[in-house]
Amino acid sequence: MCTYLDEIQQVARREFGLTEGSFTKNRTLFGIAWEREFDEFLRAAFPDSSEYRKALRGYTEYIVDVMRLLVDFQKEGKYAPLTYEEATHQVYQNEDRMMNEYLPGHLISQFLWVHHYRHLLFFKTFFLRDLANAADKRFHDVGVGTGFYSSVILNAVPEAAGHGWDLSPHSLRFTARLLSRFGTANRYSFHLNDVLTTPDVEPLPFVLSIEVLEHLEDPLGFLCGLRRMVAPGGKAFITAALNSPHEDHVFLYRNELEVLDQIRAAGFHVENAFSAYAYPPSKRSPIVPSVEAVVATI
Amino acid sequence: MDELRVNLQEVFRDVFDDGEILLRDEMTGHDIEGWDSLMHLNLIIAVEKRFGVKFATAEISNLKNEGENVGSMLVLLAEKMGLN
Repeated sequence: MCTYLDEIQQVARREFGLTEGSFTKNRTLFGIAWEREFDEFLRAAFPDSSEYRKALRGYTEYIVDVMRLLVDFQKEGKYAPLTYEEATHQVYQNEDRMMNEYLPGHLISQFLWVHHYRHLLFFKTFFLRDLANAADKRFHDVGVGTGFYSSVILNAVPEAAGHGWDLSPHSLRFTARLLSRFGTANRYSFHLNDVLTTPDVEPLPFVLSIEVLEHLEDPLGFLCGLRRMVAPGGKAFITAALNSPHEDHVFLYRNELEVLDQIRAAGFHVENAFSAYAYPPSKRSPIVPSVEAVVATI
Repeated sequence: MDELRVNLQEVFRDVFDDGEILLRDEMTGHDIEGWDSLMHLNLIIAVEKRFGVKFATAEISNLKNEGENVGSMLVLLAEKMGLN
């Protein structure tokens, strides 16, 4: 019985029609395991109707923006010119936008967008399992965003402890709220700092950075900094969005190899990689947004 | 409205790659094969281009709500074009 999920899908059907198809599709694709996991997540992350409506509204904005930008992207083959500074001003430092639309929408997309959920499954199998079995279960999450992946680790591994890094105070506040709702915030430290300029960051055995690279002007420089945060024998989980025009996407990755080459150039060894696409390509939309996930060692 | 319907029908036929589509007001996503969220967005973007109008995000989404249909789209489109 996934009654909360059923309730939210009903609201989606009546009030946020564009989102409802994702519920139906993913029930078919991923079955009861997805339904149970999503229901449990929704109860904690969006505990009332005002919260889940924000998420559905944010998700709607998100997919409409992406599809509009994709039309130009299919013709131009490049993202609209944007600097990291401009993205910061438009999005990351905009409290109302971040707290009430952008972050709730991104958070619910982890279950509603097929390629996001497929990455979660990959993450659990090829990264989380190793972390759960390690003697030292500490991790850095660099560019926490919504805090979703940190929450997955802390929920699944009671002895795990993490450090979340972000340049947006709103991302950190959103993450703090999410972890509090799951009762795991006491195992987490929040850092409103740039990891590249913060001295003496202790390397830890596990490092993750979820869909950060495409937001940066110099992702290679960031990856080199990320590598320094991984302790000897440690492991990193790094993902990047490809061919995904968005209001705050700066660096365009056109194919999976570009991501893998950059990760290798930063000194990582690629242990495993997984690509997931948002939907199948068609004559009308031959270029499809995707996400590349990489498990890397040093 | 009849002319608008004919023009809208052309957009539907092009987007869904089906020259046999005959638009009726009561038609919904259940009546046209492949009219999912993704195709809905492609459809709206094509309608905007064809008729020189712009829909707000909420309007785009609302047109997929339970109870909405081709008739709702025609009414909204006519409003946007100042035909009502």
